[in-house]
Amino acid sequence: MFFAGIDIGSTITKVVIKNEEGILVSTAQPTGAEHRRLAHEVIKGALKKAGLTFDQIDFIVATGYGRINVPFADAQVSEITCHMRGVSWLFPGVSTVIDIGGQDCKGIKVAGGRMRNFIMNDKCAAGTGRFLEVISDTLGLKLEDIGEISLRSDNPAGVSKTCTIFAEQEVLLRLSEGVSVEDILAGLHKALAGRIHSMVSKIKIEKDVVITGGGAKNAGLCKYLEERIGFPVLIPSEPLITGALGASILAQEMAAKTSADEQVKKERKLEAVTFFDKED
Amino acid sequence: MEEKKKKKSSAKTLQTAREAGYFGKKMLAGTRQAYEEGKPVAWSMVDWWMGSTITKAMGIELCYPENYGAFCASVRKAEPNLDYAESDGVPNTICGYARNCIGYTRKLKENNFIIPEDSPSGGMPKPLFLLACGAVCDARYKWFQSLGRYMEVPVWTLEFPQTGVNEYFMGDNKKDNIKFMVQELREFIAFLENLLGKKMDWDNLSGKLDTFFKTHELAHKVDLLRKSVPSPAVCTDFWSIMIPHLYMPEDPEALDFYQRVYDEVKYKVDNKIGAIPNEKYRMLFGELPPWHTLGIFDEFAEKYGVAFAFESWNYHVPSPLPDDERYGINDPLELIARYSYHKFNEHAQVAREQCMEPTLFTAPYMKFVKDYKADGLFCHPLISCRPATYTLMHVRNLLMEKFKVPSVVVEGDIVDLRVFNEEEAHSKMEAFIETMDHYREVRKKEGFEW
Amino acid sequence: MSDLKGLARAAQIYRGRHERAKEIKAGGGKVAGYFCCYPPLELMTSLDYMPLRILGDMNEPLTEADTYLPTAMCCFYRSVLDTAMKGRFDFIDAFIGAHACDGAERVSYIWKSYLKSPCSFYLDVPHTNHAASIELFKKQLMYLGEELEKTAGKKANREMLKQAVALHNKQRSLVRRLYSLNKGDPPLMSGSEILQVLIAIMCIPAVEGNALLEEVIEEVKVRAGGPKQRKGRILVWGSLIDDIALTGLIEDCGLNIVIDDTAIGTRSFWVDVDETEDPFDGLAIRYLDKVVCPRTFRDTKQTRMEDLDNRFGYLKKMVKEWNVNGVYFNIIRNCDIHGYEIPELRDYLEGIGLPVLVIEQDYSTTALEPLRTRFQAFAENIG
Repeated sequence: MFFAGIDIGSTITKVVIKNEEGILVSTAQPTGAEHRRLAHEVIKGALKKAGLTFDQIDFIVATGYGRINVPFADAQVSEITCHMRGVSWLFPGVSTVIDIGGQDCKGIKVAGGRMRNFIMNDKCAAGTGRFLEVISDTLGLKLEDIGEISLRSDNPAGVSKTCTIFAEQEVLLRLSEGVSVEDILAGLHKALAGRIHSMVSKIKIEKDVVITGGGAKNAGLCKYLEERIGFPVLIPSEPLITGALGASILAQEMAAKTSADEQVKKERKLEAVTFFDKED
Repeated sequence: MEEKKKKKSSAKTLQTAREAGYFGKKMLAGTRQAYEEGKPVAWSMVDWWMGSTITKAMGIELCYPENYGAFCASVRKAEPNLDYAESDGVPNTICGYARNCIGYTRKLKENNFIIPEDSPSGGMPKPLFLLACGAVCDARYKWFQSLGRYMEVPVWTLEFPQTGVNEYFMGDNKKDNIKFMVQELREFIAFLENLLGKKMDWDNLSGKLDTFFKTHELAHKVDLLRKSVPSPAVCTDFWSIMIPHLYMPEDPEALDFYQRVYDEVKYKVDNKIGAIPNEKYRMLFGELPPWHTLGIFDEFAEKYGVAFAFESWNYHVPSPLPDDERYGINDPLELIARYSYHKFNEHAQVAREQCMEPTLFTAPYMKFVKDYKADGLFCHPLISCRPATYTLMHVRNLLMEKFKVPSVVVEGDIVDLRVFNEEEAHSKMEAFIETMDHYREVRKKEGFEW
Repeated sequence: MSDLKGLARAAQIYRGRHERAKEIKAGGGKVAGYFCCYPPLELMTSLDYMPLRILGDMNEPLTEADTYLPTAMCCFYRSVLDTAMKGRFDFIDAFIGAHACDGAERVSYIWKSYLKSPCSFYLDVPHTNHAASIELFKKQLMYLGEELEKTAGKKANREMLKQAVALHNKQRSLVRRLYSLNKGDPPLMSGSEILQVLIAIMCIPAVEGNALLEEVIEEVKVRAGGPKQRKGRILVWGSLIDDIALTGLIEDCGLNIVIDDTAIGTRSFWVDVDETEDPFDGLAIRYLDKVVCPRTFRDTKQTRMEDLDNRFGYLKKMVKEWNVNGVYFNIIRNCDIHGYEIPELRDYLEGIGLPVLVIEQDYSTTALEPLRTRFQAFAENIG
């Protein structure tokens, strides 16, 4: 049997297809404005990669903030639960998950594969990937490079502002004072790590700590976060897909519980897809 | 690069203001010493109605977490405490002083009530009880109540009546309020006697009250001298010299100190020596300052010739109690109640004349603006202190409507420097200078005195 | 008057909250608008003022508030003042502000400075429940009564006040009966339905409110098609919710709101006024001491646990009686009163095995959708 998880995040959409044995394929691509069409396209792409057809998928779980826009999904589950499940599957000993996404940042407390507590950042972009995006734009650098660059500094600049807009102004001020880009970036990453740490501390950070999401791909951020936490953290080899992975695991569980009328369910899914094909 | 680095603290203009830090240190050291010697120590809110004087008369040493918060902010050591409080689930929107104290207390508890070594200014020792206060804001009793999770000590809330302007003038309301205050003070003394297992020393109290009133009277005289043009002292001076009158007015050293402040200010007035070299604009400041960046006022003075002639209503002593309220009052508690009530309501008449509310934080500015010939108001809405912020826009509207005095608004915080944008403050101030020029003309045309 | 009955009528009043008040005015009656749970309704009712609870509007964009209140102030009271400055309460004959919290206090003052009702009064409410505080509060209530009398054109004698006490006590017992319908599983009423009924009775005269409550109880008792059984049976704790957009979102995520401890819910109705010889005694004790809100300081007890039980013990009782398995802390941003309580109450409830979800929200319907994930995650992991 085959199960799919689709995670439509604010910046990246991820798909995982698995069977009873394990993960078959995973894909990730930028989320555009049109979630519905995208959902359809990414799943098609993943299916192609796996050499499967849509009919062969037994159960689909959608998650992420665009989850309500996946009409062919059999169930929708919050990304908090999905991340928790995905990470627990990869790291059975996990106790704290820190997910740093494009628009939000979450801390999730896990015990024995069950969620105990969670926390999410507020409406403000200050503790999220968005903060780094704005800063890399301001500095004219690529987002994927700034983490590495920050690691070259041995004298992080003092950055006191946590508000994204204020920090942007502070960056410009530091530049005008002649502070190097490395030091500024180091200071910013440190400030961001401090903010995330402080938020996640509300649910008590305990071993093992796993960092996921786009933020986990930023080596500078991970280093400063590790410093604040005070012990080593774990990072999945593909930190972007843990939500989609969790969704596919849940899809498998839910499929096992769904006994009757499976055929009917598949029919409905096909219709939904056809409908979107026509719209194309 | 070094020379570009801005000075964050203020140089202050009065010699006495530069010396006032002594009192903050004395207060903290005094409590730590008492604690070492096994004597009772308590933490108190600035109570404005002399609950702290009563407490001291019972032989208890006090320190003030609000002052400690301002101190930690001024040396830029508050952030770790704020973080530590927030990570225990306290919203980052609550009072900066409170978060600093909650974070500090949490650390204190985790260190078995031995003051952590890195505590700014030596830290505050574990208290026997917490003296909360119902005046001014909810934080000042909720915050102490919330410390229960770190230390099992009783909290006493000294309640303060808070009446409206019309209500102040109704029937026997004032009498009822004062009667209530006296009753609450008696309850408080009973609490202290029970806690310490000893009786109130009334003679000691009346001696302390005597010094208290003398200190306050001098502080008030200094306030009056500050009406002079040019300003003999500015806001950054006041925020230093206020420490003794807010926290230890019953200390003979505070009284001596105020005599020297008075002499210094008087000398400057008599010789027309301004606090800043070239005073061009006189401003008011409302209400609580950015403790972490007081140096900015020196920069405003230097760049634009702005003297902050008066500020922070709530930190100032009231005018002396009128004779008819003082006459024939033999009960010290009634005297305390009357004086404290006077502090909060002495501007009720001004409020009534101006058809506005409230008396606290608002009506006084209707008077200050004339008395101190203000060209503008600097509004500092605080991200974490609502009580000192709620009425700022209201004051701003009223000053414009009634006196054609403009305001500049710069958001920030008392403790949390993470939310204060210095660059923004500078650019706003630059633009505001023109606004003040314009309204000077307007006031002139409309026949205002300044 | 409307032909609708029961829940449908409640929903109608909820949507047009001021319609009945305006009808009453058109018929020559008087309306008194008041803040929070502290001004005694009995004083208004006995003088033939229809009490109208002043609420904000989560659907209304704030356009006036910034002129009067900086952004870091209580989001609820910013909305209250915003709508008031736009004229929404211009028709009221009396304004009764109250020292419920800093927000209510300062906004009462600002309101009185700009909006002039024929009668307006600021009710000081002491923070402690000491005997002296109750005595002072009683006097404040008497001043309020006198002020209302001036514009009511009549005086209230003890008998009239006692009748009003009986009338409002009846309302309270009806509301408690209403909540008791939610003890079973599934509950008979959704959180949104209860909210509509409670807001409705805060916007019509007490006699009509009691009739409406009786209709609703009769209707609901025998209903089929109430809320579905859901995994989560939650208690909502916090200052207040006054829009079904929020309760609807919560229930949409798989949680049934079965009971609450909020200022529009149980706090306003849970205890009666004692029928004392001098009705002002009963009123002062009830409104100052018996209304339970973290704004009232209660002297610390001998031990930590006794103190916590003294402050929060009633919640344990609610949890048991309504079979609650999760608690949602609804914190309207910048609410100090509830903010300081969060770590304490969270640990207290988690200590008896209840998961707690804390959300600081901005009192705006447009800001609700991002909260869906949190409610959903909470629901997925409850029970």
